[in-house]
Order: sequence, then C-alpha cells, then structure tokens
Amino acid sequence: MAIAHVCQRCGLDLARRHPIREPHYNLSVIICTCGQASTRTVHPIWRGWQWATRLNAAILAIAFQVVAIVVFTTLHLLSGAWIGYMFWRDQPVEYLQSTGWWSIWPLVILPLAIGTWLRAALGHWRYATQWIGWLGLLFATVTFIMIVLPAFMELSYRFGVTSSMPQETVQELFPLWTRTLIGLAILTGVSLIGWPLGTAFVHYNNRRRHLRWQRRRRRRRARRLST
Amino acid sequence: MSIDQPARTLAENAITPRDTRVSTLQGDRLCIACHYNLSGQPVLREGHYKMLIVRCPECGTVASVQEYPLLGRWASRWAIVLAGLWVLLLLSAWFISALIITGMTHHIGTRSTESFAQHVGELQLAWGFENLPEDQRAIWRHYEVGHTNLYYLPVDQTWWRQQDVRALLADAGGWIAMADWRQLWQIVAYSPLLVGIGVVWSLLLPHIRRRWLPIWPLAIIGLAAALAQFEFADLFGPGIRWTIGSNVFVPIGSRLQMIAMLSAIVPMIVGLVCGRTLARLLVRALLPPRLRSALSGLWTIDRLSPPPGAKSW
Repeated sequence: MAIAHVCQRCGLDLARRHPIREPHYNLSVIICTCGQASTRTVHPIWRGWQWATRLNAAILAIAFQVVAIVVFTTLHLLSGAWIGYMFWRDQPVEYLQSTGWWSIWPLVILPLAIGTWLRAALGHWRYATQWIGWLGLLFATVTFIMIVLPAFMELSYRFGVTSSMPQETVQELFPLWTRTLIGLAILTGVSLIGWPLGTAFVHYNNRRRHLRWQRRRRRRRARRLST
Repeated sequence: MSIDQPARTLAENAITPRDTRVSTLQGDRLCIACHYNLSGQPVLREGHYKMLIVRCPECGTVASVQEYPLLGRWASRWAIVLAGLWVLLLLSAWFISALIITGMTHHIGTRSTESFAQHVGELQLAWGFENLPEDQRAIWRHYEVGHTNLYYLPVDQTWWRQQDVRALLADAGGWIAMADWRQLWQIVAYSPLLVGIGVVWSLLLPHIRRRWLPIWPLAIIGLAAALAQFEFADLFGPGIRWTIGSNVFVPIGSRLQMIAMLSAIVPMIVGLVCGRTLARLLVRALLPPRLRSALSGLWTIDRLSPPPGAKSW
C-alpha cells in the first residue's frame, strides 16, 4: 500500500491520488479536493536506495572500462610489437604464412574487438577523439615502458641508487620502439573495421533500454489503475 | 496546557472534545513508539496548535502527519551502522597509508645505512677471524670482506657488547658523512604511489574543502613516524639485534627515514589537490552522460556545476 500523505489543510489522505507535473517548477503536485496543493516527493529512503543503485552501476561501468582498457592496451601493445617484429624480419610474408591461421587473432579479431569497443563503450567521445585518444594512450604507454622506464633505471644505476643495471639500454631499445609504434598505428587503422559493429551495438542497446523503460512504465500504470 | 507539561497518560489519550476528526488515514504509517500500522485511524485537528495528528490505538502516542512517516526504527539504526562502518574504513585507510609510507621510507633508511653497516661488518669479521675458533665463525662462511653486503651479517654478541655505536660512527666520520644521501632519490620512484594515496584521500574526505586538504598528509606522516618508533625503540628491553644492519640502523637510517617521510608529503599534497580533478576527468572520459548523475557529488563538493549531459570531448 502507498505511504500516507495527508493534506495539511483538510487532513484528507492523498496516498492514492496520482500527482501531476505542474508547469511552473516541474514539481510533482497533488491538488486536494479543498484546493490545497501538496508536493509528492520520493521518500528519502527510497531516494537513497535509487542513488545507491545508480552509484553501483556507475562504479561497475568504470571498473569494466578500466579492465577493458588494461586488457585491450596489453593485447594491442603485444600485437603491435609482433607486427613491428614481423616487418623487421627479412621475409615478413613468408613468416606470416608460417604462422598459419593463428595470425588472424592479432590481425583481424583483436582490431575488430577494439574497434567495436571504442565505438560502443566510448561512444560519448567525439569520433576523432576516440581514435586520437586511443593512439595517444598506446604511444604513451609503449614510450613509458620502452624509453622512460629503462632511462630512469639506467640513471638510478649511474647515480648508485640501484645496484642492478637494466637488461637493455635505451639505445638498444630505440629501434624496437619505433617499429612497435608503426605496428600500433597499423593495427589502430585496422581497428576501424569494428566501427559498423559498434554502431549496430549502440543502436541495439538504446532500443533495448527504451523498450525496458516502456515496459516498466506500462507496469506502473497498470498497478496504479488496479488500486 | 503548555509544552513543558508532561505527556498525558494512556487513559487520557482518547479523543478529547477539542480534537476534531477531519479524515481517515488510508496509506501506511507506522506508530513511532510501537510500530502499529495506523492505516484506517482518524486524522484529527488537535486543539492546541491546530496541527493534524493521528493517535495510535495501541499505545496512544501522537504522530504528527506533517512530515514523511517513519518506516520503522531500522532506518536510523542502519544509518548509525553505516556511519560507524565509514569511520572504520577511514581509520583503516589512515593506518594502511601510514604503514605503506613507513615501509617505503624504511627501505630508503636501510639502503642509506648499508655503507656504515659494511664498515662495521668488516670490523667484526676482522675481529672474528683473529679471535674466534673455526667452528664458532662457521655462520659467517658466506660473507666475504669487500664482496658481500654485510648489512645482514649476524652479530657476534661478545664483540658487539665491547662496541659503542656512537664511537664507531664518530670514527667513521659521523652520520652525515656515512649516510648514503643518494638513496633519498628513491622517493621519486615512489611518487606515483604517494600521489595515488593522495588521490584516494581527496575522495575519502569529500566534506573538506580543497584548500584544507594539504593538511591531511601531516596526520598520515605523524602516524607513520609513530609506527616507525616501534622499530627504533627497544620494545622488548635493551638487547642486541640479530644483524649488523639493524643494530646500526638507528643513528643513520632512522634520520634518513624521517627526512624521506617529510619528502613524501609533497607528492601526497599533489595527489590531494589534483585528486578530485583527476576523478572528474576519469568519470567524464569513461562514463556516458546518463551514468554520471550518481557521481555528480564529485563536482558539487568543489562547488562546480554537475557534468553536462552532452558529448564531453
């Protein structure tokens, strides 16, 4: 049963009256038979619960995004480094043929998944920003891992802060770094094939949410009319 | 009858001639004293203040019907439990932050003591090889003068009782000369973690204005320094510790540990000051507008407008 809501002028219980949206402040208002207007607001406990549910959804979404970024960045970096390594070899085509069907994973499946994810999960970004941001993140990460970190470790060793020298110096890593960047750029370009799939997913998801909302509204209306 | 007069007894709680019945309660409303559902009870206009009230037929308690009805006692009980859990979380986070800083600065202190420990260890080895029989110094067989880090060399208690750490340190040139000051640069390597601690605290203390947040690292460092005292002090009575390094740590390592702790304040302040901005950036970057409303508190705590519902980048 509804929570009691008593008119402050005449004492009539307005619990079963349905509120209307008044045009001036967009408040949910009930006009009593005596003419007194009362606002109907959500109960604080229910409002708190709704907020907690929304917060939970937001935190889950952030966690999902962070996990997706970490996983896709790692896989993209490994694949980019692999492509860089492939081009570095003398006979890249023969090497690619020797890998067989396994090469379809880093060259087709992964870019498709990344393209779909970028379009669907980061759809609130502008199109150009999505790709520039993604490429920027990859370049920054690979530069940090291959250049900044070894340079910092080398510097620490030279100043005597650490006792172990990094296995490879920045000079040795530099050619690998440039090839990896090229590999990453190629892979990001291939990721565009996931764009249509991502757009289709966004449309499907919006439609699904709309239908769910319609169903919920219909159910509420039926419940109201039944009491 | 004034407000100061005592409440009426149960027998007196019947409808008085001055109460006027105006309606009947149709919705749910629980009595605040006995939780009886007042649905179906008459709504009265009482005589004193002309307020609308409902009387509980079970215990006679008067309920004012001006505000939201209480749904029971559990709402306030849960509020107390949640507040207690939040305080517990804050205290745990404070302790853990201090523990992390104690650990990382202790490492800096240890590394800065190594050269003095090496010097003292060599003195002990030289004494041992001259004065002890072969079987008694078997434990030192893995240690080699000039090649091994002697920080963890086990102490010979007979020799150590004859030594005065201060005298040894003064002979070696004093604590400023023997400390390896370069180890303080390690705080740069620890900075990302310290900034992260600052970011977490800026979100855990939403009620504190941003300009006051930089004070909080002092509390964390204070607790970290207190925790470090457990190591410096001889809690189990005066005695000799097991290794050379731990015996010579206090005159050099503890001082550099304190300096490292004070240096750790700077990255933490950076994290505290930039933390909410970073969190807002993260939310705007990762969440679509429809999911941001629950986190609008990140904006309102700094008196900013909540994020717009349009494309943000």
